[in-house]
Amino acid sequence: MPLKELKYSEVQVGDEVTPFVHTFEKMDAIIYAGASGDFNPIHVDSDVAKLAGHPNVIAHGLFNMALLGKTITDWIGNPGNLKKLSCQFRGRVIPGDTVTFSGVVKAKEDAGQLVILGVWAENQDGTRVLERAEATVKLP
Amino acid sequence: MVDHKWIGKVYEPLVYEIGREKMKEYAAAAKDMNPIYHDDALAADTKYGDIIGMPNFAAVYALKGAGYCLLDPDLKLNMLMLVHGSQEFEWFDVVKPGDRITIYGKVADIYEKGDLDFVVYEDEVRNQSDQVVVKAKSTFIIREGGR
Repeated sequence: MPLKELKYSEVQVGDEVTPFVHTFEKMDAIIYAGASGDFNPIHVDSDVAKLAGHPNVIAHGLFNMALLGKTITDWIGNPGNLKKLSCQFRGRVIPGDTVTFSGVVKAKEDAGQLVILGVWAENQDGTRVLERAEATVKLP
Repeated sequence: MVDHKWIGKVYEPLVYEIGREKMKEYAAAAKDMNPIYHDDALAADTKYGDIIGMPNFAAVYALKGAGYCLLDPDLKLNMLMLVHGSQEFEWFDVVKPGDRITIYGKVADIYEKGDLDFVVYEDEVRNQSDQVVVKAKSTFIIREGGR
């Protein structure tokens, strides 16, 4: 069965990646800790998170980055076409925060059929959670 | 500050075997139920011939070496003051169940900005065919020059 893939010719500079919206819950961090092996208590233990100066547990940065990756691969279809993803971890995400993961096409490189995306994540107040993020996808 | 003499320190290669259920567990934890990560029968019928790892699953196998770097007694990093500043993944191939992955990691850089210490860990990840599958670069920040 062929995978549904976004085609290079279908993409124009300025196109938007379909956004993904997620409201973070403490259980997300507990499940992510188990799946990733990152049991840093500031992600799972509210008491430790408060000692570290946070109002509650905070989401793993790599969890937020994974949701950003999902946003891109949902848009391009075949996840094997994602070639590069980078980001800075900025604002913390606490339970109840609603985070929107977004992207826009910044450039196309005909040689190699590469598409460069500016991507980011922000919470309900517009505070950036993932910043200076960029992705490269190679489309058929 | 962290002693700059450790810039370039190379870690012993680590081996990691990609597990079918672990790949699915990670993708589900990342809210991604894409059938190419979960449905063995459907995936068998694609060009990949099996399920593939969510690209961000690299956070598990490619960053395994970063954990050793952070706990390296030579670097003496204060984990309580440490935050993950930025992350970069570059993918060259997909990973599939049963792949045997070898991680070659090193301390790529150590520097300061104001009272912040920066430690950059980089690794290259190769599969059983010695093909590079992922390169990862992690920047960690130790606040208040904490030691």
